[in-house]
Amino acid sequence: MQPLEPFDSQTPVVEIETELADLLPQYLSNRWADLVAARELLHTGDFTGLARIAHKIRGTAASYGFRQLGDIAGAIETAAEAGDSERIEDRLADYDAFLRSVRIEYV
Amino acid sequence: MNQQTTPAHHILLVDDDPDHLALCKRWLELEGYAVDTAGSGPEGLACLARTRPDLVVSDLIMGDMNGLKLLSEIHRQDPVLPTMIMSGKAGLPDALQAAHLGVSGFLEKPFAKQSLLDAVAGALDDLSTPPPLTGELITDAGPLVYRSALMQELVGRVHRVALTDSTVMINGETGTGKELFARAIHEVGERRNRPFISINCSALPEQLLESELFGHEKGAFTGATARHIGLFQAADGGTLFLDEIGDMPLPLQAKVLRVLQDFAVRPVGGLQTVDIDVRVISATHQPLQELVANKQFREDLYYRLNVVPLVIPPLRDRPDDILMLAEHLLTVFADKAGNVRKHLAPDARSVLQQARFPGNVRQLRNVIERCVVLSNGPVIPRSLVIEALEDQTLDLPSLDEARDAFERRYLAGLLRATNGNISAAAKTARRNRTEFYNLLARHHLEPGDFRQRDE
Repeated sequence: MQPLEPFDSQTPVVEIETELADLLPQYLSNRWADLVAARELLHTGDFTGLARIAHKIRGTAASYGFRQLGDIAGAIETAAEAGDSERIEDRLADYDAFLRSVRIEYV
Repeated sequence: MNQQTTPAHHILLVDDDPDHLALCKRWLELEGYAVDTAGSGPEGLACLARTRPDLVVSDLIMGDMNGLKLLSEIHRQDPVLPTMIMSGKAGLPDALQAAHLGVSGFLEKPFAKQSLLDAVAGALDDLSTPPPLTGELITDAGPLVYRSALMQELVGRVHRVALTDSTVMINGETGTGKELFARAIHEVGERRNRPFISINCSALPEQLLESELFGHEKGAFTGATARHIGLFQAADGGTLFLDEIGDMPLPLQAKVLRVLQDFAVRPVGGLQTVDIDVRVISATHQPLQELVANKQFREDLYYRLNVVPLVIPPLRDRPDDILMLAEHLLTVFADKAGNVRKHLAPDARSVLQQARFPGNVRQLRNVIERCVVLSNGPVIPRSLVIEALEDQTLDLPSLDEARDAFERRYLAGLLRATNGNISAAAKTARRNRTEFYNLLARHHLEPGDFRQRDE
């Protein structure tokens, strides 16, 4: 996996197909729920569970149009497989920042 | 959006990620497909019990039942239902297993809308490619000639299954053309330019069959003077046809099972395994499920081989094909001999059409060949067809049955000749009295029945 560029929370603008607009609220709500679950799993040291959640996000995010979120999830998955708590912590912070700052433009 | 004028194809989507499920459903519905969704393998199977989609698209890794297990369950119920797998983490063994389970496509997550639509359209295109409804399906070993509805359906399945890498088991009576069907599957499919190798598992003793299938290293056993490449390896990229699989010895069944699990072979006496990519088609005339019940055939191998079962109907169940085949054979024999093509008299045709043909197409071929050779004129008369049918000795009993029948006739004749006198009969047969009594008991013969009573 390529090292990620430092996450720039000022610029996440994501173009999403209008036809998916009504799916977005549920999608983003589920990603917040994943963040809560991922932090809990990190707290209990369940790296397998963490990798599974991150893998699921990675598999879906880019398809919705959230390529950057998919990359962050991929980095969390790799760090979880390596059992690297510090890196997981950093990437979860990126994930949190992305969800807080992302701006969606429907095209 | 694609405006469809034909009824929408029906797709079942199975994924335990509700967001991914919702996204794919939306994409497909916008394209005009009718979509059902299931959040798990068991839910997908329940859905299939209610309705029959045109295509199943399933995630590979799911909690309670993974996609491959789901697809093998689906194919147990409906062997030719097209299926596709989506996965973000498929290893090569998964992909190979998926291919041998007859999966039509493999989509790597994350994928874009167009990739999904292209893959689905591709799988459904395969489905809509119409097989020839009547006529001939040409193979290297000769054409499959048919007209009956039974055969039309079967050839349709051959076409659909040929487009996949599914492991196929062909069941049919002797003479129905099982190898011809195996070749047809090979030649219609993507492997047509690679080898098709056939082996009859009942024709070789166990050690030789093992060496033929898996190969051996030099010095692996007495007589192994050189390295020998096995048929699994020789068929790499192509198709291996295991005929009369029901006769394969149990120890070899375990080894074949391992090959089908790992897609790798280890030659006899070798240390290294060699990866192979072979489609396996097997055939038998035996009721394999009975052999499984009697522990003569491994159940796990049976399920591995029987992913897509094809049953070839006997000729007596498809009388519509008899005359078409006969006409085809008349042309074949005329071409072969360079002679004028002969014709069947009208009443000879009806005799053929009503015959039982216990030896199936092979017997019909023999009958026609004999008629062509023996008929003096250009028209084959009814009498010649009847004679050829009566002289066919394809219903031969087994050696044991023949020996038993002879023994019984011999003993009865002996008792009649000696008027039921045991001592005289035993002496003629060169058996002692005890042995002779045992023989009579085995055949339920009573000496008293052969004694002439004084009036």
